[in-house]
Amino acid sequence: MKICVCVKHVPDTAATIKLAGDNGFEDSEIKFVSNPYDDYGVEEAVSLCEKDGGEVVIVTVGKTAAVATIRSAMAMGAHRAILVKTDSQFLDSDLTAKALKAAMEQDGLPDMIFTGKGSVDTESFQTQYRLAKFLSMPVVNEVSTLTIDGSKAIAERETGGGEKQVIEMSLPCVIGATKGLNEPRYPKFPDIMKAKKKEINEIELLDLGIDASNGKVVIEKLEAVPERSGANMLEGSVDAQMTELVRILKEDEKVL
Amino acid sequence: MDNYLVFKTLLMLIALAGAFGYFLKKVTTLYKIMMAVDGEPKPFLDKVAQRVKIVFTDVLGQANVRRKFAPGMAHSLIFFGFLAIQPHSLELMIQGVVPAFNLGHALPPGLYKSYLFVADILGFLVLVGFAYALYRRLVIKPDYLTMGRDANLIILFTSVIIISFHFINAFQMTMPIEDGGLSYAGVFPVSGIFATAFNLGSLSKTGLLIGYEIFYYIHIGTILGFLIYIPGSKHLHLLAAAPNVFFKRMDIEKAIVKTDIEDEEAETFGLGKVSEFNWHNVLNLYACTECGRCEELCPASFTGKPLSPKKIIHDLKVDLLDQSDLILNDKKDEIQPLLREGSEITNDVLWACTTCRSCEDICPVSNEHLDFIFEMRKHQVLMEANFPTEMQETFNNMENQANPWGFSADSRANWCKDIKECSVPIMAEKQKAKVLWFVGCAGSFDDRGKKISQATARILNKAKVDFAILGPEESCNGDVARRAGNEYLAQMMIMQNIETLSQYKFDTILTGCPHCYNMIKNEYPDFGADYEVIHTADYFDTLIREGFLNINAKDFGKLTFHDSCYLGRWNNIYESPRDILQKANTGTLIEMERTKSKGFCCGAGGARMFMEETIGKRINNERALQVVESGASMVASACPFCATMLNDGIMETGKKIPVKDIAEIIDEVTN
Amino acid sequence: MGNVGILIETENSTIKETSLGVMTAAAGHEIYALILGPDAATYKDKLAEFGAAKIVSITAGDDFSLSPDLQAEVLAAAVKEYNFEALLGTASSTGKDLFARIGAIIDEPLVSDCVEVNIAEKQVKKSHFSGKTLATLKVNGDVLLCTIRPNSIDPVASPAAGEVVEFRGNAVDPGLIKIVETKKGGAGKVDLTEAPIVITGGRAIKAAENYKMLEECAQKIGAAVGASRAAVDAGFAPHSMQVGQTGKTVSPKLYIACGVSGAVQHFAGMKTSKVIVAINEDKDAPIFSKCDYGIVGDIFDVIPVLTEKL
Repeated sequence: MKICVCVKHVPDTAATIKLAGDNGFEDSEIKFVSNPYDDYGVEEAVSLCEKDGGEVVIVTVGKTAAVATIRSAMAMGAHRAILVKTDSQFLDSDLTAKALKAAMEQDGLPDMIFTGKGSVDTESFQTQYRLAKFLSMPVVNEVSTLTIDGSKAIAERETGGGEKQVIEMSLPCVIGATKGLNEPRYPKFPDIMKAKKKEINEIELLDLGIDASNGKVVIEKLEAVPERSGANMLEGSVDAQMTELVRILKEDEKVL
Repeated sequence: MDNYLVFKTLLMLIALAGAFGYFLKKVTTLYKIMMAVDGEPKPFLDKVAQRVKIVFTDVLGQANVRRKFAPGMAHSLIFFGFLAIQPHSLELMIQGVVPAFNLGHALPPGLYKSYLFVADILGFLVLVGFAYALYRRLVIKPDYLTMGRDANLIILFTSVIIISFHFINAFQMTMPIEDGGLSYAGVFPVSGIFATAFNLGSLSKTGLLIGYEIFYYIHIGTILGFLIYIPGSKHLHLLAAAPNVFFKRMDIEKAIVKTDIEDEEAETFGLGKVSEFNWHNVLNLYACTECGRCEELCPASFTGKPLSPKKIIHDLKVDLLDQSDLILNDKKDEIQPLLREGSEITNDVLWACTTCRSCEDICPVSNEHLDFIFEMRKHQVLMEANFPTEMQETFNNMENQANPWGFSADSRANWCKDIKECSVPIMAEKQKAKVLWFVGCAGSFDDRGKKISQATARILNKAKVDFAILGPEESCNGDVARRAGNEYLAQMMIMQNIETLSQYKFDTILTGCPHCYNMIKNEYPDFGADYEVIHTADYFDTLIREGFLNINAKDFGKLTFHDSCYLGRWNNIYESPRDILQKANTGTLIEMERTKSKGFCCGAGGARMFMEETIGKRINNERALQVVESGASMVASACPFCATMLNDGIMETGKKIPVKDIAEIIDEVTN
Repeated sequence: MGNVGILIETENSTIKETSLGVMTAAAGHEIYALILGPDAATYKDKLAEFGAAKIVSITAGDDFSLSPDLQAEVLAAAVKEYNFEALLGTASSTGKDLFARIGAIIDEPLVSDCVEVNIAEKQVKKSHFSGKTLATLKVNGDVLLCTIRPNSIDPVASPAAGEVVEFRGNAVDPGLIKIVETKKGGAGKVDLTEAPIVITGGRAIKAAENYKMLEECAQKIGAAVGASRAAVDAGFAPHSMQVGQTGKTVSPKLYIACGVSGAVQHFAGMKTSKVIVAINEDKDAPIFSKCDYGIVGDIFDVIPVLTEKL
């Protein structure tokens, strides 16, 4: 079985984002990692191939620096990778999906495609759907349980309130992985070393016939969200405090 | 008579040849096993003069054994006693083959007789020692002592060696003197009493001869029997202990060995199976006497974890000897891994260790238990990715944000903002300073740790010290990663820090955390860095002595000091914090029962701060109970992790005993 | 101002509050409230009150309840039929899924989980980098597809005609996926890691039974109940409820810490919460330097009153 896993090179969620200009951020000093949700996809793909044989190919659309992230995905057991190079961290979902599709077609279409449920930077939650549409494959997102039975896949996804949907589809298919699908393995040291030598095929975005300036969703401004500035200590009787708290949560913070 | 002598000579020859032959064969095999293992030994022939001295005091002088006084004294008596009678027993053996042989003819008679006199007394004292040993095993019954029926039998068996010795001497001195023979009158004070007590004088000459021969055979028989028993039992320590002490690590003994992970030829790292020991490890296993002192002091054993240092040594030894055939016959690939289905050493055992070094510190034969633990952890993490699951996030946090909690690396200096009284200079701006203060992760991010850092900053300002911190450029020193076996991650972090440090000019590195102290001082040199490192306990003590800080002592009540493992046992710093506390406190400084080199761990070391503690009682709770038991009204420590652990533990007890770092105490008594 | 479609979500035969907020986002446009299913008329009053010019009952030839793809196809057809300049919905799990499928079908740009929408300017605002920054995005398509973060826009009443119409799409199910089973959650219990609101009980909870007090509060607001490590160690709660470095990491919009001291290891498990409320007896507890709203008090006094007020 050939499985492609789409991995995105994103800033670590613990990193502080320093803004640059109107709509950019400083990316040279902060730590980048693979999108945490994509790790579930890598783990699932590697586990499936360990059981039934096959190869796992990482496909990334990103900057040259993404090579480091690809290597850590390969340390988990992926066999090789394709990097479609672009300078932008904010390439829109449509173009990203087109790039992934073109890269996979060039390499040979796989039996399964894994992505994460969404990326932690742009949080668009749709690239996998567009990719599936371009490839005429079924797609299910936020999958927390997956069983492969021959050429059939049975996925479970949570829809909120503890409710789960069980969905059937045939291979080839696109699965958006989420937390709970598996426990991404910590790579063994020999595998980390082996990953340094595995193949990464680097392709230019333009060579796939995609122009990065054709994006339909354009980022105009990026502004910081102010940090917690210190606790607002409520006062008064318990009754008064609770009335005030509920009001704050409902009206000011809008979390209730 | 002559026939009998011929018979005796033959019998003795066969017996001696057989026993010694068997003994030598067994020992040779053990030696071969020791030399057939693949591990790289650490330096073992440096500082020879120091090594010789230690063998003199520890082995010959039995100084280490007597750290536990009563059993130590008993053992000393047994040790000296057997040593004393050895030459005479050997002489007797040779006499069995060559009846005319007598050292008394070769040596000046005065010397010979004096020796026998001393040997006789010391030999008897062995029985005193054995009596205490039996009393301990049958009446006191401490639970860290293996109560094997075997051990008791051996005591009785070897007592026979002594008793038969006395009887031989008793018969000897009662026998009429031959022409040209030696007079043994007055030579054997104790055996003489035996002679009188059993009225040997009333026996005929033949009777005496027969009696002598009987006890002769008993004596030689039990010695040879014991000789055969030695290689297969813990009594192997008779051979292995002295060399083990001689070869113990003299260099930075309290550091983890650097694994060359860049070695492309290496097929494995760390300790995965018995063939990967180095010969020194094997010598450790042979030297263990199963005395149980390590288990007695071990905080994990004390709180009900399956880890016992004694048991690990025993289990490793059994595993090695069980598979020794494979090692000797070059079938090393068939050797089973150490941690396997059904092995005594399990994950729970391996990860329960807090690396406090109580075991290594107290071991009378200088065993290095931690070497095994660290190397086994290295193998499990690097080669098997097998470690407590909660560590995965900790490893990732350290890799991504240079601290185990995963706080943003560039917020590392935010704790400085809360200090109203002074500012904290950053190296990136200052470029050079006399003192580079390495704050550490706990000092930068942990709530308790931050308060300690703030107090330290104020003190440095009061003393007008020229210092700076690395701030956001500081990365975790690598201790947690290294003690958790992640050698790859640890080396990355160490080299990152060294690279940062090399950009700046400073004379000394100061730190308030014993883990940072130990790493930078003892383990960074392996990576090319060589800094002068000082802990705040020593540094503040010096500042006070040299008048840079003026103390207005306060009443902190009955204050006790909790010795951090990495400050005390790992780096021998016990006095300077006490000195500080004596000066700062108008009240009294009391010591807990488990204090100084016998201090009880807080439970956070060995990366355990970041692991779940689900088995048995909690180590920090136990230590808190000890604090309460001491009657102290306040406890001080010199480590941010100890402060947090003690704090949590004392909260559990419900008692209101404040926990303060020495920095906080000094801050309170200075202006 | 052109036609704007709003995909309405219902539960237990009532319109979800979140959908009303989405309708408000389209104020000023000709709002078509879309309901999947034949019974749109039952919601007429409510939808009309909050601005629906038309209420569209959407059905298809086949039963589309088991096929999100078919639902998307039908909605795509509706977009074309009514010439929507924008289609908005709630960024719920089903909402995000449906809209992503619609976007792929009609090949129009979609922005998910927005907190602000300006349909006329084709501009939206949403979080980037897990809540650390706010991005303003320009959407250059013919149809603006957008899902809105729940509770980010307050519903404002704006009475309109509310004319009920029917749309019967004749789209065909591509037959790629099929929902074969829907498993209901256990007694309304919400999963800790994905819950929008989490209430955690710390050491001060003193006994396992006392978590009932927090459960009652949680029930009222659809929250999940967690525990701090101290509480788990003391045996008051199972490890599966533990929030923190060695437990679960949660990222709710509201985190209520009850009797939790706020040690760094606990904080590591909930620091990305949008709003943190802390209740603790000790005014010096570390949690108070890390929360948005603090109440010094005994949780046994405070929580029942809070539950009552919710």
